[in-house]
Amino acid sequence: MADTPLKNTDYNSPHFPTWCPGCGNFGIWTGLKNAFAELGWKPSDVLVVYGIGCSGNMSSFVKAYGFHGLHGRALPVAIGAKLANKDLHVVVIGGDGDGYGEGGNHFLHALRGNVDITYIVHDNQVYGLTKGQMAPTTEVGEVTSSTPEGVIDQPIDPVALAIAAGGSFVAQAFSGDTPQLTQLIIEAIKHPGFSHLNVLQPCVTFNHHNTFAWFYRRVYKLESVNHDFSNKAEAFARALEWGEKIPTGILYREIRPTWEAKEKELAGLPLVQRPLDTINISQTLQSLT
Amino acid sequence: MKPTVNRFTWKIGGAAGDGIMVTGAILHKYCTRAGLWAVDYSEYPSLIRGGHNTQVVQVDEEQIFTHDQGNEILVALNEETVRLHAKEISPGGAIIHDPDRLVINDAMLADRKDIQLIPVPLVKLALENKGKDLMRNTVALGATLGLLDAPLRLIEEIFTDTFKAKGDAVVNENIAICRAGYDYVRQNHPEPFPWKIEPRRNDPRMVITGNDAITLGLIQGGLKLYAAYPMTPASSILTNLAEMASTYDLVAKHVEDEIAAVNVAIGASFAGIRAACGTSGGGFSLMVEGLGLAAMSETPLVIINAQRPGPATGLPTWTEQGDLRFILHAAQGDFPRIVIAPGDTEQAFYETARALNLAEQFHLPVIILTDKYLAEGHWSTPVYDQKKVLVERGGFAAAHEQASKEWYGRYEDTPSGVTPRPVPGKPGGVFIANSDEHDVFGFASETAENRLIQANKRARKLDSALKAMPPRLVWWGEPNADLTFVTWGSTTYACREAIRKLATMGIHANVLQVLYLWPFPADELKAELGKMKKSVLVEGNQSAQLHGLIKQLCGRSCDHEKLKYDGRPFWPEELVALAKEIL
Ligand SMILES: Cc1ncc(C[n+]2csc(CCOP(=O)(O)OP(=O)(O)O)c2C)c(N)n1
Ligand code: SF4
Repeated sequence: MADTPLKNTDYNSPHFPTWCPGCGNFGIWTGLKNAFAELGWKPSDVLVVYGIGCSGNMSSFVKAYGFHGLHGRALPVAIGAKLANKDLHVVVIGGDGDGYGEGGNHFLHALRGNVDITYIVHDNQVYGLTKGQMAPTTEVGEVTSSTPEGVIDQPIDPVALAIAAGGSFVAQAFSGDTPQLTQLIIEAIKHPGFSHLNVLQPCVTFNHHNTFAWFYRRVYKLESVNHDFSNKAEAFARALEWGEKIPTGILYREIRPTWEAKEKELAGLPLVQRPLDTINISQTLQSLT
Repeated sequence: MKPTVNRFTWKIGGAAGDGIMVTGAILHKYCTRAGLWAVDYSEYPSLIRGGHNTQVVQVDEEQIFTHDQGNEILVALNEETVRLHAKEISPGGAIIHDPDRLVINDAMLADRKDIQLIPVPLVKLALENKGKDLMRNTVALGATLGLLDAPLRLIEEIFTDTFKAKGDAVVNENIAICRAGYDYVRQNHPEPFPWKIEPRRNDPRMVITGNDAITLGLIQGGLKLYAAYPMTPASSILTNLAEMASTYDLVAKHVEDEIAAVNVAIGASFAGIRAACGTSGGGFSLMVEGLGLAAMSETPLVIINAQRPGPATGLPTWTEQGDLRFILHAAQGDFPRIVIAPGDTEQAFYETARALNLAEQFHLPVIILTDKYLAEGHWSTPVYDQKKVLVERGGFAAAHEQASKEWYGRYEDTPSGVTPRPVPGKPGGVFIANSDEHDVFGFASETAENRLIQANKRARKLDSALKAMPPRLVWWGEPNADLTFVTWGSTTYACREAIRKLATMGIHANVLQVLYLWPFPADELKAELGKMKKSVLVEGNQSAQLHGLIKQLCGRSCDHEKLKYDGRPFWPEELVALAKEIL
């Protein structure tokens, strides 16, 4: 804990974001820094792993340890870092193309594995950085630069997918509601296990369908309907909502042991603190004679 | 006639699922404990039941490196074994078979009249001694030892050591079944066999595969996390480490695919531990982008690539050295990497441990390049000296340098190219590891000046690393030879075996092994090539990948070239014949 309370601006880097004015990424950036400040984490207490996309460009705008990896591959880097140092706070930032398209396999398996990291996905239903192609979340019929005659494929429903695949914490937020987003980031981080937070993030440049106004008219808070997030069937039904009504808040939560807790070899000191000068393989060498 | 003592080749053949590999491993261990040297190798198709599997164990009183094509004892569990391998049997050699299961006729022997048939009721004896059907292999092992007039005492010790964890009953059952085969042969085939075993007294030796040696090199070298997705012939590194994880305090993680494997290893290494991943060519293809990520973010990384014949799924369970150029050039852009190709299990052990040091000290990827032959073959070898393995940590930022800073210049230019790195979680200055080109703090930067500074800094690390490397060329045999085999990787074994055989014929040949394929020892190699009387390049691929490199980087070539890419390792006999032809 720092002596003086930390502020949102303590996590600013010398570089101001290069996102388009009005981009939904600003809200997520603010929410993330708010959450760090509320949690009292110093910049050196946390590792943020970023994917590649407009979202991943946040790597140059946040003061914290960072790893800006490959397109779609942020999750395995984060998992490796967490296993090496289970005391480290690890948060992952990525886009919907990054995480649900290119890196979809890692997402599926991270949900199963339940390593204690937090995954925040900037879901703008489009590819931003590569200038407006179809994303796995783009709605059927949408015209994008890679689908000039309209999207044919059904969109992925990220939160329903996460619940079905065994996610232990699945939540959705809207980047236009920073206070709720901040609280959800904090809840996600506090969850012991893999937490998935899908953030609806308008892309003002390439997505003229899912705009701020479009979302404002549709989002509602799950608390307002007394949603029971321990009920998987109910959570799944809510997760499927899209179109007229879109839920925000915690959809599903279940406490089950993390991967780290179940892996015997990780009991005790984090791997990074274990000595390397006492290793002695003589017993195994002997067994081979 | 006096029998040949302590020099023979034994082969067993059967279908997949017949459990033949365990039998050969036990015979290998027997001979090693008997103070002899041995090698063994298995050939098997990529399926679980049926097909044709063989295992060969070759034994000698002198250190040997590769098995020959011929053999003296063939244990045939099915007809195919006889049809395929009877022709390889030396005159006077024997076929052990179960007459209740396999009747051998002249046609199957292709008119060989100089082979003895040793019928042993393998299954019947196994069942009579309360064993299962599959224990017929243990009967065959006993029969082999009976034929070779070898003492049973040693095999009893081996069964005791191997099975004591499973209880006395299992130990005794194995001993009884083995003895049944032994006694049967002594009683029913008492005539002296032209080959025999006489135990010798020697320092203890191990029986080990290349993958086992790599596993131990990783462990003794301080590995704390291994991430992999199973792929022959690399899989046993993962399963070995998984089995030994609790003994040696490390994590072996079977991840969803090879892309995850390389990225998990990078993440773990970034966070400060020694991490590695391993695969074969197909999986390495998936790791390629990650290889570049390790280079760009300057994160230490060790990758093991155990080759098999490609392209695509190729010949999954066979051997080849066809990935060399791919490994040297894999991933977009120019960046430093180190590529080490061990030529025997000892090098596999020591160089793997060294790879962890080099990667950590110089912040770059190091690739250990092996193949199915080295990965899965067994060799008897002197017990490794673990004290020779030094975990030399390095490349980390000192706490006091980091403490007072807000941002740490992780990619600051330095004369050596190596910039000390903090690990995440350490208090003080932070930084970004970035797959985008970046400035000193890791912020994305696209200026021309910065690009050059960073690219040159990365490249310089390879020159610095040179000082920490052992000699990149390794000589085997005596200098001033009439013929030098120039080779790399596991083919070094066949070349060493060939020069051993050539020496007995009065021909002086030696071997030059390129141990470090990158950075390529061009100057040294050029000088050596200039001194050779005659040279022949030997490697296991179609396009002479090493030879091409030599021509390109040394401006010279070897006088002759011998390539093999049929999935089989080189036979020493073919290299001997080649040497005779050249000289
Ligand atoms: C292997 C690979 N393929 C493609 C790209 C090009 N690329 C960069 S970002 C991106 C998609 C970005 O979309 P998304 O993940 O939704 O992020 P956004 O920019 O919308 O935040 C693509 C295709 C890449 N960098 N790497
Ligand atoms: S392209 Fe879209 S997602 Fe990217 S910065 Fe601009 S508005 Fe944001």
